[in-house]
Amino acid sequence: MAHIHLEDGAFTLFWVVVWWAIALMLICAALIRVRSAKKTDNRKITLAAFCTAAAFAIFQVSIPLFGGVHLNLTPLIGILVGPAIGSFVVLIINILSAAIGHGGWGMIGANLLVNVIEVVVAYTVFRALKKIFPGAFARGGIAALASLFCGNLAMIAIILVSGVQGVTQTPSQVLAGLSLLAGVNMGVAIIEAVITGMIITYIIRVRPDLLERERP
Amino acid sequence: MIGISTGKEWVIFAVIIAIVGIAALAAFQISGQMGIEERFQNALGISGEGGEEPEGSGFLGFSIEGQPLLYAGIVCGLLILCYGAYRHFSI
Repeated sequence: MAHIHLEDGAFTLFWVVVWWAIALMLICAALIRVRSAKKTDNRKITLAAFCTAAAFAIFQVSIPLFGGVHLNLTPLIGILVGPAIGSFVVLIINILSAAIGHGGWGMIGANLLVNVIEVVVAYTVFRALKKIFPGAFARGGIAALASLFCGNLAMIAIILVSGVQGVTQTPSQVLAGLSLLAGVNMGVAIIEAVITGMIITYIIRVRPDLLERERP
Repeated sequence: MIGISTGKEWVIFAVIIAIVGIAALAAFQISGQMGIEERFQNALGISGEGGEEPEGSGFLGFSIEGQPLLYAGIVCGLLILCYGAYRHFSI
């Protein structure tokens, strides 16, 4: 559930432009990848639409744990629709979230980077662990934990590299503070891991064709 | 069988969960009880406005972040758009 909860103006204009530019490059790469596919599976598009709606809704709900947190389902998005379409899904979620005041507009680029990393890591780990963990629950859960851990690392790196305007603390103090924040985030990642494992297991049980490489 | 995790997988998953859980609880104990925005501002050492959620808001502690009216509006708009697309393209 890594998401940079800072308002517009926290990063300088230079860094806002840099993160937006990198994010747009990733989106362009995803677009090229999707367009180069001979035929896009309609089921995947439908699944992506469901993922967008579900993740956007759950993104806005504050759960009364650790003082108030939210899930974001990015690992599930990565596992179900893959990194290319998953990048579009997280782009839409971030834009819609900014539209209702959840995160600044200037932060979309940085947040998109964090979320794309989560999507890619979840997809990769879920597939890479297939031989070691043939069962979907544990594999989905571990993929979710790994993806959210990487997302938190990316979030810390982006904030440290950009610097936040008006902060008087030294970089090491900021790193210590953000590490604690990431630690708490990982507590929420446990819930997300269990939810991801359960949903993946259910989908494989009732519609294994939706996860093409999981077909018996 | 595909989809069913074995006992060994469950044990490994449980151990990972336990390690992550202990680390998260330790981080929570050190940083204290606060909302997401407040936790961010505290981590960075900046003073923000409106970081604290009002007491008793939401339903059983669950609340909607951002602007609930806009949220409802956007969700309604999306529903109408999806229904329109569904009808128009005969998906």
